[in-house]
Amino acid sequence: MEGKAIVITSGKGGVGKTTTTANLGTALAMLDKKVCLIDADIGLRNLDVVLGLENRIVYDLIDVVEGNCRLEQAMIKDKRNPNLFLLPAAQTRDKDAVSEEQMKNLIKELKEKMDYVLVDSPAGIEQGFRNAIAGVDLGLIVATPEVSSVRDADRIIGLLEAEGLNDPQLLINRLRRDMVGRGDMMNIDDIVEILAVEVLGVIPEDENIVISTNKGEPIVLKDKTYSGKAFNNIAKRIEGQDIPLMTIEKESLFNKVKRIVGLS
Amino acid sequence: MQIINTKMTAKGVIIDFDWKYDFDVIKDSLKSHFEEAGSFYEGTDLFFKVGQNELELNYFKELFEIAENFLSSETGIYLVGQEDNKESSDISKENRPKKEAIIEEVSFKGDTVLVKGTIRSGQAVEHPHNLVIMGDVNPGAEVKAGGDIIVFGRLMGLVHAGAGGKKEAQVAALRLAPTQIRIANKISRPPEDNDDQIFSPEKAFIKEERIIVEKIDF
Repeated sequence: MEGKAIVITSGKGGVGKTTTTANLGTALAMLDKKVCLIDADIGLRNLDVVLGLENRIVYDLIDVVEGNCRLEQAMIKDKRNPNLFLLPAAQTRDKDAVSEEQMKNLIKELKEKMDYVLVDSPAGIEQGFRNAIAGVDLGLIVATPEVSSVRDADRIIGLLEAEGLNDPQLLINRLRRDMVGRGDMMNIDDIVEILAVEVLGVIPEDENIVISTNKGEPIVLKDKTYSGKAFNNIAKRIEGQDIPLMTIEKESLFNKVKRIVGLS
Repeated sequence: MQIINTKMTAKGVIIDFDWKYDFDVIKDSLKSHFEEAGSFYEGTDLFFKVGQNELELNYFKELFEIAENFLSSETGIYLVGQEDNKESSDISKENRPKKEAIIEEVSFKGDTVLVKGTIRSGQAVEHPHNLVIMGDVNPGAEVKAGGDIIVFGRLMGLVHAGAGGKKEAQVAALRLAPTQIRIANKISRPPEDNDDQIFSPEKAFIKEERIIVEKIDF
């Protein structure tokens, strides 16, 4: 069966696209799925660093589309999980080195081999973004509970819909329970009211993420951390086993937020 | 002498042709030289050396056309001559005046090139022969040379010496901590948990088909 290609995008920079891609990819691979992550941020690659695979890069995405190597040669197998692969971006090239057509063909080829293809999109709405969304089946939008981030997410949803990528899903990142409790931060309902899309998951602000990113070890490997658990749950929802559980999960998380605030 | 010889000077690069060869051979050699050099000559002025030869204008036109195909319009191309020494041929060697009085030559010897400054992420330095970098090579940067590479600083990015297949090529750095190191067709990466910050110069080379890293003893 053909795999599913998902783009992780946001428009705004620094909201956690790369961290999300690395963690969801690892989490899906831990569910015994074959996953390939594509870093579409040509010229500003990061995904390899977050996964701790930088020193294994020999060929990259540009080498593949230019025919300097075969696709298999450029795919780096993760050092922890044999189901996970990374197709790194080129660092010394720019976004025009690849075309939408080439990306489409690449993703088509990967979908035949993989259960999931996750594309890490660059920030912005220019050519890099257009390349990242070419040939994918689903848009996953990452937004933080800030007005600017939500505004950009809204713009991205519009652009995705214009490209025929309907029903994108939302991932709310860096939510601070204490601030939501005090009414200092937008809550999930506020965001959903503006964006009117399905929420796939919520990830709390967690300083462990910074540590894991710097170490090159995805947080999902530590299921005890709250954020790691959140990513693992999202991976399970992507797997689609239980869509009703998603709402329960979302509510329980929300209740948990309320509960903790109530206790404090 | 090779068919084409290059010399770095303060004003630009002098390209000297050995006119003993057939003109087609010279043309091919120039072409492959530019191909190898990549964007190395970008923004540098080039000086084609005529020497004392009497040559057809068409020859130079053709050479210019080759150069123009590979270089941007910002690169100036000039012809340089040499003092006619026919009359001075009977002067003894010791007293002969210096012939190449064109451009002041700086410290470059042979085909080694010096690059000053930090090479940052996303930047790439490439040269067909030896390369000396006075500064750090940051992670995400690429340094590639046909010959040896010496880094007077911390080498933390990707480095490829002997890129054309020269197995004797070496890499040396004041601190050798590259993301990945390649010599000729061999690839190696440093051990995962190597974060000693000690500043000790090291060199890397191929020994028994493997890349070996060794401390430089003074």
